[in-house]
Amino acid sequence: MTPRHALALAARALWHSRGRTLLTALALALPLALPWAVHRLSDGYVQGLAARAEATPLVLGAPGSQVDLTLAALWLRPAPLAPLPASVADAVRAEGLGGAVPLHLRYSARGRPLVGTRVDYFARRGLQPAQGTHPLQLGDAVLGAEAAAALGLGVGDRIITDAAHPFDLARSQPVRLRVVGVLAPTGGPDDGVIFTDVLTTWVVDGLIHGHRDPTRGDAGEVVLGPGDAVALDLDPARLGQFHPHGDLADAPLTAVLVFPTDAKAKALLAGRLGRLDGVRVVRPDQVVAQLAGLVLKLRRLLDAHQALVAASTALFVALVIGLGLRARAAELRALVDVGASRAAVVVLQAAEWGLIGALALALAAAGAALGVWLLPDPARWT
Amino acid sequence: MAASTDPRALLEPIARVEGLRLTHGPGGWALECPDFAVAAGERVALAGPSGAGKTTLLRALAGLHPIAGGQAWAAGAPLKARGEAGRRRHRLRQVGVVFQRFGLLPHLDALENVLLPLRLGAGPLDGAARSRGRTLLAAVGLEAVAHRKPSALSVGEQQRVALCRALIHRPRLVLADEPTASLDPATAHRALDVLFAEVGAGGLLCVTHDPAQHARFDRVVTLRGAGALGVSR
Amino acid sequence: MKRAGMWVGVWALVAVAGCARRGPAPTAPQGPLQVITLVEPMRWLVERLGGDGVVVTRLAPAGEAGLHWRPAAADVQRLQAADLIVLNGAGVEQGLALVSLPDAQVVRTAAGFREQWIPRPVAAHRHGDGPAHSHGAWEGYTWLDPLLFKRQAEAVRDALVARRPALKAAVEARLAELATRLDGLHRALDAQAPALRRRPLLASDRIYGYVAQRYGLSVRAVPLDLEAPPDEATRAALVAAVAGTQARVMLVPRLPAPAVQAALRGLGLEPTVVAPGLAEGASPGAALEGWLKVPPAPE
Repeated sequence: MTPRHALALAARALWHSRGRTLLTALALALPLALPWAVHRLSDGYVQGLAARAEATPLVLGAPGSQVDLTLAALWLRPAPLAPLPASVADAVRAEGLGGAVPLHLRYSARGRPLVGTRVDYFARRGLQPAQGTHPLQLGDAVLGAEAAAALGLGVGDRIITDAAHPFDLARSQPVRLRVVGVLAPTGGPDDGVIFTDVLTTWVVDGLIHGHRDPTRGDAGEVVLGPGDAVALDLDPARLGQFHPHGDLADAPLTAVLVFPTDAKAKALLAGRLGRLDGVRVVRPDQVVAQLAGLVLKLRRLLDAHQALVAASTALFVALVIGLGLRARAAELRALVDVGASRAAVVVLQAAEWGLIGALALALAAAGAALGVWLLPDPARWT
Repeated sequence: MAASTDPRALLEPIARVEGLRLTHGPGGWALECPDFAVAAGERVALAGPSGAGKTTLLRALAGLHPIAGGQAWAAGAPLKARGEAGRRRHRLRQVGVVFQRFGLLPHLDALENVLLPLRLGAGPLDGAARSRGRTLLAAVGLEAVAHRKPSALSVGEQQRVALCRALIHRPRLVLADEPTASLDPATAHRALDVLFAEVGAGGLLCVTHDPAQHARFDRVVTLRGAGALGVSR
Repeated sequence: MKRAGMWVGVWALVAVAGCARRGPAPTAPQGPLQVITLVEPMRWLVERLGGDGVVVTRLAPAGEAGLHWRPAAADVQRLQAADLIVLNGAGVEQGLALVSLPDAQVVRTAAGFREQWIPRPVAAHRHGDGPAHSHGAWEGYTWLDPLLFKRQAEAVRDALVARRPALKAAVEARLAELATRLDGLHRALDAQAPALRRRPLLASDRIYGYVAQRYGLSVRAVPLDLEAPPDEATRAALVAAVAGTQARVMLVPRLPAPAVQAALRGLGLEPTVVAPGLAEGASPGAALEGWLKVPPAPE
């Protein structure tokens, strides 16, 4: 019997009992799909973590949890981290060994994290506007692709920052932002947030405010009446009235991303910046290696569990094969009586199980792909 | 596969048994089968009471039952000298068997069941073979049900499908175990017509209990059990 | 006046060298560096050091000094696209304070001597019932101090070389030349300083703080409108300042209207122009020539 005839006969037998075939394939596919999906998701997670960490050599923050700091600084998640003075970014630049990008992650707008940074961030992350521009002046906001789609906002729209947390002591108040750009999608955490210049987040902080310019003219006290207060609508026509309230070198940042020029500069910067008071230097690759190690440990645990499930599935399949052979004994005897060799009978059975296996694999792949598609991007879990 | 037209082959019997002894397992019954032969072009009916060993003798000639003693030839080949694989190949290509319980595969339709020996290697499965399968089914009145599965066929229809399957590869010897037992007389008559026509220059050994049919055969061999054998016209 | 002649000679050399000594610029692999500045002294400095290796654009419109000028959105886009943005960083360019600049491209040339910045007294104000406060501000015009200006030149050198290593030799040579002249100017000013220290000076503007700080001069600012005769309050302030300092010279950034000149002379003050170096095409050092016109103090 040729393989073509064997496959044809096997396919007819499987189609004849298609319900049983599908059930058997599903029973095989499910224990395959779960670890498959878990591996794909965890691989994506670990690779995503590693790629982001690799693209961010050093992170500076206030002393505290380095995991919280790394997750906040790399995945732009608002976190209750102690602030860092903005002068730290200047100190990094003054070393002349690399770039520094500030991050301010205290606020949100319509539930999306509001990321205060500088235009350097977009260059470092390769974020190009799909529409409009990067932030140009106070009050400009640029939306990540997914945030823009989810909020239904585009260039020219307005968005108001969310009211601060009730026990926020910083006296922050909502500010109306202008959407001046929407970024092209990247598939990373930058897609889900709203970017603005760090100066704008300092407006929310109350560190930059607007009133008549008291710095011109004679020294002396100017009392600002109600008419001097400017609504927190950062209208470009009135931006000239805004000015820093004190030295912005002391303004708060959540973190500073540091991009050394080379490996030697990285080592030098890590050493020098580590000596700054109230500054913690974190190497994201090391933090991510810890996180990835944890993920892989959990995965090994799950793999062990899946191995047991696979063993029980194998026993179940053996039982099904045995019962199937018994139930179809007359049919198989008829084949032999007509002239089929025992080898041909074995080939026929193998062809049937091969087809069931292929169907199970296809179902498992589809299930795993569906799982990966339905479950959120692992990079966003952090 | 097809009945030979070689004159020498015509002189050789298509089937023959000599001192054949069949047993049913250790301690089981034993059948001492008297010698007889089926000549080329001969249609032989095999009769006898139930339990006389007709089916066992047929299965032995098909190479499906072991020969304990003596010798048997089927389609010109000695069976005892061949191993199981040789007997199977010989059966597949040279012998057509109509089993008492039909032995149809439930997942194949009538035509596919008829073509099964070809799928297993009895001959090429091409357009001509499919056409022949449909012709055979039409000859036994099953043209309309060629694509029905056995579960959708009556017992009589299943029996005729089994008959066609035994003939599809033009075997030299046809061994039929009560091939018309489930058919009404008219249908049985038509089925035997087809059987006789298809056997042609080959040989037919057909178990039948219907005395009315005996007259249509060249010879009736009666197996009386325990080795008794009677031959009548 | 002999010293005055020497100063003119020094600055003439600086200015001429700036035009004539550019020489062939090293090949820039990526084309000339696109540099944006806001105030004239920085434009002059970048062009002077970068030669053919740079294309410098002063973004503020003609006639606008760039002290308070605030760029529109389109200007900010130009800033974001520049290879390098060279700012003084102290006191001036206040219109950039709240603009989204690409920090990696920004060089604040005065950042290296922040400890020498001079705070500017500013008005205090209150918000509602809040405490009275004022916002920090700094004096600009650091380029009027030759030594500070040299450090600013070094900062520009570092920025250019970091972005175009191929320019290193040419930029270093030009810097060395400029530094020599700035050092010479400093020595000349330092020699002149004892005489100037003996003569208290009034000034109509706050632009001379860094020179005064460097050479220990006494310069008191009395804000003065150079176009209209002083009103009673200003006249009273001037009278009080003259009485308090015995000053005989009033430093002004440009020649006042004749009526103002007459009013000053009426008070015993000789208006003496010491330019702030903001005029387009003027070298900052040449601005200091104004000091040469300050009458020497009696021995």
